[in-house]
Amino acid sequence: MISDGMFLAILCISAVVSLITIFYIVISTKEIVCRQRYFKGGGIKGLFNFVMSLVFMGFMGYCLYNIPEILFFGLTWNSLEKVGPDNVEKVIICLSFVISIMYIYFILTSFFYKPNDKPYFMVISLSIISGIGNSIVVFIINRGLGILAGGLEKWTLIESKLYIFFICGILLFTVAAMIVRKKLISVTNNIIYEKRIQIIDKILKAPYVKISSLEDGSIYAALNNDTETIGNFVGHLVSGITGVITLITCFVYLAILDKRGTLFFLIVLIVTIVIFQLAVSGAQKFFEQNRNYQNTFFKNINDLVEGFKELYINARKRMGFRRDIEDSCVSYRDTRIAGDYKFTNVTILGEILYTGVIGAIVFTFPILFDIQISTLQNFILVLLYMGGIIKESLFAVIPTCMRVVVSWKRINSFANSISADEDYRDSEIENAEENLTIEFRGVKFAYKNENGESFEVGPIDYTFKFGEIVFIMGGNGSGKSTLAKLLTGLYLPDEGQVLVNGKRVNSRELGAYFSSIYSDYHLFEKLYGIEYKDKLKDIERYLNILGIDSKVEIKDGEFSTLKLSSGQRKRLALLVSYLEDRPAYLFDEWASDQDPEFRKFFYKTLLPELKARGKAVIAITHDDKYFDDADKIIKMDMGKIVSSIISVNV
Amino acid sequence: MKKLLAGLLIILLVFQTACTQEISVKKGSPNYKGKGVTITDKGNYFDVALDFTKGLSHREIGKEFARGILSVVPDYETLVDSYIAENLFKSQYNETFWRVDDIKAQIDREYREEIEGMAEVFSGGDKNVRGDNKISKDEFFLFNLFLDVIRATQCSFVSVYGSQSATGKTITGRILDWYGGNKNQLPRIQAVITMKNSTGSICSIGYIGFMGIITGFNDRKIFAAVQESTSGAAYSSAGKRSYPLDLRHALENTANMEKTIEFMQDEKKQYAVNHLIVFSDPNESKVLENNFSGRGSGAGRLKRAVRTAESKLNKGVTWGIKDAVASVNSFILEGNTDNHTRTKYNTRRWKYIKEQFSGRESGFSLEDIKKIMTYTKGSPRALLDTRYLYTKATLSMTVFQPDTLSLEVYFFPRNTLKVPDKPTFEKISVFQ
Repeated sequence: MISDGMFLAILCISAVVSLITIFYIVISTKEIVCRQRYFKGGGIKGLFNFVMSLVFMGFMGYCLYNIPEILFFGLTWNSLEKVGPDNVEKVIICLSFVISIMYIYFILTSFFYKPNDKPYFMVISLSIISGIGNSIVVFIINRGLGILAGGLEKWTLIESKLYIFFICGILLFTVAAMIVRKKLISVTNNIIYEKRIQIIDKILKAPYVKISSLEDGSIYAALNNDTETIGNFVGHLVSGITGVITLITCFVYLAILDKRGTLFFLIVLIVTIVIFQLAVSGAQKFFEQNRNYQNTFFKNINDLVEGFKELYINARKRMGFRRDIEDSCVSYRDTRIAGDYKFTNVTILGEILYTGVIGAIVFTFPILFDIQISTLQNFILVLLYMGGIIKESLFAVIPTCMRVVVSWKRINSFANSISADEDYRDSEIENAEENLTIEFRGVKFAYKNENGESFEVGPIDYTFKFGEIVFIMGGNGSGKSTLAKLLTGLYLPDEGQVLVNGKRVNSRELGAYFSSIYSDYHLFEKLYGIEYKDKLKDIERYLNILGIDSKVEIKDGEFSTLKLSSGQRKRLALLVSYLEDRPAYLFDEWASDQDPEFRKFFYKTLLPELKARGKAVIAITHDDKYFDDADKIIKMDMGKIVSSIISVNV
Repeated sequence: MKKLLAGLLIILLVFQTACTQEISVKKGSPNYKGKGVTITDKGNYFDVALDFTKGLSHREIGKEFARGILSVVPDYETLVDSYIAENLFKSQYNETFWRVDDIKAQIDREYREEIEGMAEVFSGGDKNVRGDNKISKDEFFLFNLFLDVIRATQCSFVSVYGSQSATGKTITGRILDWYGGNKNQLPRIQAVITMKNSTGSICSIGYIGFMGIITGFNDRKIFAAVQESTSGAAYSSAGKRSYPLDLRHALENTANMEKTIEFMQDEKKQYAVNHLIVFSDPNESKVLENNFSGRGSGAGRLKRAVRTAESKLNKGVTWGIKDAVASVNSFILEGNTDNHTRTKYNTRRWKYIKEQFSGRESGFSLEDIKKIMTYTKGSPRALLDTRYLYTKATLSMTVFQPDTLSLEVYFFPRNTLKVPDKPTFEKISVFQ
């Protein structure tokens, strides 16, 4: 039963598992010493759990010690040694050792907590234990039925104490599964968290051009659905592992019962898996399409939220939008149905094949082979049990696997598409020296807009000086905003150089000099990156000057509200920009939707004040009434500077 | 704490296997001489002589024998009772008596009286209590019908004769694998029992108090031994006979091997379990495959038939060795139930025997046969995993030459559970 080869295999597996466990014990101990793990007893509940774990281990010890008596029909250790099978004793010693080592590891990691711990090893080990427990249950049931079928007295089954191993199996299965599931809750959420943070970091470090070229909705899908899909898969993975382990142990058991039957069954199972695999490749494309519709769906949701006003007042637009969003929902539904249908068909085919095999075994084996009826009964019982596992743990997991594969690919391609900016750095610029200059030397930049039309800016040769106010003017599409983005480092020049004080700088370094309010600016709820505590008086004063002191206040670096008119929001953005206190300021048509009063404040008070503080001020504007307040005026046309005028005031 | 528990578990295992190897044996009288009964303690076995020619009835001989047993083995009742208890759950214990009752009715009256006579001397009376250290009447019948109702032996048999034998005559080796009990119960009562009656004498290599034949021969130079051969058929004891007791009858009352085989093969005699009986006479050895299930493969559906060196065998089983016969615990005759090819503990031993017998130019001597029987690398293996004939469960090995009635026996040591790596045979004189 346990041949030398099998024992050697068990010994090797035990050695590997023990070594891995010891490795993790050492790691955990090191973490405790280094205070990365700390004791978390859990009070009475923790004590109760510890005592219960000791009881559990005592029970395991009892079961192991009584293996000869219970599993070998009342044999003693002595008689087992003589009659055999050989190596049972050694196997039990191996198991005792492995179980003890794992218990130590389990206790160590359970009572010494580590934040964001990812106990993969424990989860996988316990999943395997759960699978083994599951198998023990079916073996014991089989053995019990075998005893009853032998026509023995009804109390024999109770006397055999088989129920102890039945309880042992249930305990192993349920306790391990319970711990695994609990661990998985934190593991799963950690996976989602980490994947999200990873993607967010990627986005934050990515060049602006890459992000601005991403399809709308793809970020939402990657951050929300794809990460959730991958995170939730861990649960399926565990039931998969448990199922596979149960199947393996069942196969070993079947092989002991009848090798030819096992081989026959194995062949059919492989055929079923091959058919399944073929169907999987067919269904894969549906899941890919399905994932594409997810992007569209998120884009639609974005439109729904952002454009609700427009949809609200315009019934035709609303109906059109509804048709559009319905179309994407229908496509999403249909591709999902098509993918799942593929699997359903194959699952049913697999089930028919599986049941067919059981039938074939029942009807043909007694004729073909000299097989004992009790063996056949045991065989069939195990096959029926395995059928449930195959259906629930394997067939059901494969579609999920496919979705995970699609999501995984999407996340990776998304991550690749937004590969980090080479110039990225987290540090801020040192306090700028006075009288710095930003010089564009032969700068050229070209891009394609959404309609595929190419547009080129440059070559631009110009020097922006600190302590100077420069107005940029020009018609729509003249390249003003592109120049602004080149200036603030959002766009990387295709040709030419950008020099700060004569030194070549990269886009991130250039951007770090600026505080900007773009025409499509975004106002955050918090004052990120601003030491606001030292500027509370300034904040109060400017809120008052900007006329929004009665509308909004700042508490703990956070605006009390952002539900303001567009003019008020822009004034608030101006305040934020001012507080950022950078060497250079860029305002893209800031004053366009402001009242005359605030326009005047902007041009007559704020800009000169910034200039007085030695800042470089660049404003894109059409307010020719205030052109006199600039030191220089640049006119853009067709992507080029067509004139550069020194103001009369200079 | 856990390390301590794990350590304790390991220590317990070691204790079981190493520290409790020595057995304390309660000493009785070194010999007993009663009317028609002589028992001599030979150190590792008891030499018993039962003389049925002195005018005593079988019941009286039985009583005398029991008294002698208690004299030389004072704890005999404890040993037998605990052995029965060890082998049967409580529920099985009660159920087994139904089987005993079924078979008891078919036992020859004389044998039944012997057993009853012995049981009357033991202290258990008619009350069956599992593990009470007393032998009741039913329990003693159960002990004598152990092979018929519980089935626990597993043996090997090798025999050469004619051209394969160095002497030209039969040399037979028989290995008895049987569970000896947690306290070495069976080794402590192992015996060579000679029974003399009006027709001649027979010798049983068995256990004191066990009146059937596990291994035995008669003074007409016929050797016989029983072997188990399970086929998974459902058990039924109704109307069945005891084959070890019938074998005794056959050895006592038949004149030659053919007649002995014929007696055991008789269709009128039905037995509860499938079994093999190996036979030898000075010139030949044969194996009776006594299959009652009749679930043979092929068209033949063979049941009870005799196998010789030349017999055709089932598909997948080969022999091809002239003047030699062997047997493990399986039916291999063509058309018989195949309980051989898929059972490793049969196929491995069969393969080993064939290897030993193949490619030999000169005949096998007694020592050669002993070597085949005992050969093992290092320590013997457990019964189910061995490929050799000598196993951890071997209780006795008998080498017999029918022509000269020369007998050598290895008995498992009485006072230890440790299995000797090199078993030693004792020469035993019989029918002197």
